[in-house]
Amino acid sequence: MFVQIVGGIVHHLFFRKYLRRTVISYIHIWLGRILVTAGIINGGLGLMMSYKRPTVGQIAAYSVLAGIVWVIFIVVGFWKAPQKSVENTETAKAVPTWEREDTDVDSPKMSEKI
Amino acid sequence: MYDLSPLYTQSTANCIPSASDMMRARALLISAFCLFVVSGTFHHLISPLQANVLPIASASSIERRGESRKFDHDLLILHAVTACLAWALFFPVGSILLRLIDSKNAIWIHVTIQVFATLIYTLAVGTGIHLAKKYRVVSFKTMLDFNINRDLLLTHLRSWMYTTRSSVLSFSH
Repeated sequence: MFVQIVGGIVHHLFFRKYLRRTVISYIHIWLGRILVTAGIINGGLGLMMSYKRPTVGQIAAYSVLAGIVWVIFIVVGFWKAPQKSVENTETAKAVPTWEREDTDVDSPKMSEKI
Repeated sequence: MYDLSPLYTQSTANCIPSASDMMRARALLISAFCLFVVSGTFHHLISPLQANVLPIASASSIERRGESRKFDHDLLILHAVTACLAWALFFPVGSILLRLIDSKNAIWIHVTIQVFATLIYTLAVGTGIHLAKKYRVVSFKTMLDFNINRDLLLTHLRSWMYTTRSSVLSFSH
């Protein structure tokens, strides 16, 4: 988790500097996916080891809700087109909407805007 | 016949670890294995079977102990609710919103939600450490489930030492 905090900040600084994703970005993304998955499983384990046995309804509620959230998390993470780079204007999807009016990509103001 | 002399003239002295290296590695391996076995042998000393569910840090009177137990039950609920909310709601939702919101400020929404989730998970970790110090609620059955794999590994090692071949137990490990 503390790696995630530092990694997120470093990713943002590097993205501002290089205008594209770096290794730090992918470590941040994949560590986040692993941590969320492990955290959801850990919640189920805690429910299992609780000294007062949880009811079937409580277990089902946690499993269903956490499962739905996890599926949405994974589907959105892979399906939604991520902002990989600002330099790439050929594919409009890679450029966020607040940057689409700009045609001159190589202007030095680009790094100031982000 | 073929001339095999180049094979024997090449020096392999630099390729092979020296005898002292082998001794050092063997000592490390043996000490690690001894620690592993000894920790299993004296496992009954730290086994949760002996540790009852009574609080270790007792209060001065029975009434205060009862109050403390009631308070700790509330802490347990707090621990469960905050940890579940953090990992099953706030951490994933913070990441989902980063992809769904198409705005320049999406990252700051992400940062805010993740920091909030980190804070409430820190609360859960604190209450969890407090409760784990005070009570030993992990049942013997649960610990047994985790120890089965160690027993399988030891059995596999014992049979492997004699046969130097993997058996069914090895694969189950």
